[in-house]
Amino acid sequence: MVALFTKIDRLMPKNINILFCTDFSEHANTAFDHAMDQARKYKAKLHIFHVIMPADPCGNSKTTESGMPRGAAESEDDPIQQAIGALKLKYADSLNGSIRGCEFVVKMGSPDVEVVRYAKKHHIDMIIMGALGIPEKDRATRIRTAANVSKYAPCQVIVIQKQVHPSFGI
Amino acid sequence: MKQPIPAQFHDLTFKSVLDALPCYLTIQDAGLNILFVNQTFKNDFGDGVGRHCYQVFQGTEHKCRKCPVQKTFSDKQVHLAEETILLKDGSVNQMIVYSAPLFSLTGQVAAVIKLLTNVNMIKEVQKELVTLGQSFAVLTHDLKNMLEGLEGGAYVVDEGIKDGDWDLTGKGWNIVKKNITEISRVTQNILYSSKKRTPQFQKVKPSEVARSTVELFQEKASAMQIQFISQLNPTLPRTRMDASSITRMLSNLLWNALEACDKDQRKASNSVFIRADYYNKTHWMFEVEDNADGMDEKTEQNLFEEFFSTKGDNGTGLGLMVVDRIVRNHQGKIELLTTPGIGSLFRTIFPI
Repeated sequence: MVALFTKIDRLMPKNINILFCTDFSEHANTAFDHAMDQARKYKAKLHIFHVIMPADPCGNSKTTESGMPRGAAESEDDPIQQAIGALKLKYADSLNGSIRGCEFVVKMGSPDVEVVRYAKKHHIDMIIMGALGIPEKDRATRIRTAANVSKYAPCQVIVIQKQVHPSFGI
Repeated sequence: MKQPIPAQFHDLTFKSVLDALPCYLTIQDAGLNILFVNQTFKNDFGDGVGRHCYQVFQGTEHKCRKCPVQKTFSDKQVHLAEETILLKDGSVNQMIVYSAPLFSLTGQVAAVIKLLTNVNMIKEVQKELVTLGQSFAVLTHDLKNMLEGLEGGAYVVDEGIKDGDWDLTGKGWNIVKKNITEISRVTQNILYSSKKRTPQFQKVKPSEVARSTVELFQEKASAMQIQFISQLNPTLPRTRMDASSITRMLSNLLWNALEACDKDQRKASNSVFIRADYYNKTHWMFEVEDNADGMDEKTEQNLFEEFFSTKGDNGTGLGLMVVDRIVRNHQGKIELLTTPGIGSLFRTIFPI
């Protein structure tokens, strides 16, 4: 782990963009601490990213099946606005320190496809995400999000397990 | 001599005739405000009277660059244009637009009458004709290559038999078999893409379709020294599908994956994965993944275009076009993850 971050230190360019992907699980919460540490360290811009899986992926249904917390809505009708509200409620207060900026982004679709597409389009330098945060029986999807993002992303990907202490190796 | 109007037309008003026209009719002033619309217009655009024509037809706040109505106001002539028009339901349509002057008693253009005819169907036919022309050129060229390959193989077989060299005969026979497979595959894709076939929907288990398709490719994968890994969830329920179409779709994806791996010289070993599993509670998916060379951004964008191929003379560009068509026929969706040097993952998603 230490070696990995040392290698990343050397490779990191200026004006760094860090993409933190969350499914609001405990793994994601731990990953957020890591993402904040990295954003402060590199004075990076942090993109806080969530993907809503539509109930009907082949049509235009906007019903969410994600694990998004309830009661955080800015608009009851628009699930994207709801999710952005939830992201802000969950993470905005913790955005302290000298990071270059922050953006809350919500997309609809398959999580792996949306994360990789966003990373390619916005020149992301590092993706930090939690390992799968939901037990298999409760999972909305069998897509191997972390594995696919790790494989197809155009940058380094760090997948965090809840059990790892936030300060470990950093 | 003036002919009397037949009795059955006595109730006919000027407006009812305009309303019955099978095209959109508007009358506009010099400020491009709509003064009058017919019923056909109202049906597809709503009541646009009082609004600017560009707001109604284009959904913008800016005048069109080549507005035929403005031209008619300035030169008092009839003008013809082709425009892309947005209907109330959100559909985009190609229309032929005529603008003609309505003169006042002083000979000035008081208003302009604008007639719009939907030519979407004609455009579709036009596109199909272009496609047909392209297909003849591309496919003839590709089939010629394959037939030449077949001739080459037959020649090697002949030489082998003549010399009593069974090794040479075997090599020649492999070339013949390879080209027969290619011709057969291309012919099936041509048939699928050119013929309007009615899908035969029935309840089938996706894992069974995948298993039988994989069996068709096992031997080929072994011969190419490519590892074939299937992960098929047997608990997927029977779903409504045209099994032969889905088999064709999977065959094309698997064939592309195998060919990409065969072309990849950078990795010591190549693998192709096929997965069938739940996408979510109401949808299932197939994933075909390879660890070949992947695709750059440009290739990714053009991938489902007709006759786009990365295989040069070895590809017709029909394979993924057929995949796309089959997925759409099943109300499905196709997704792609790819990175140069890493590989590609095609995911097709269907309702359960």
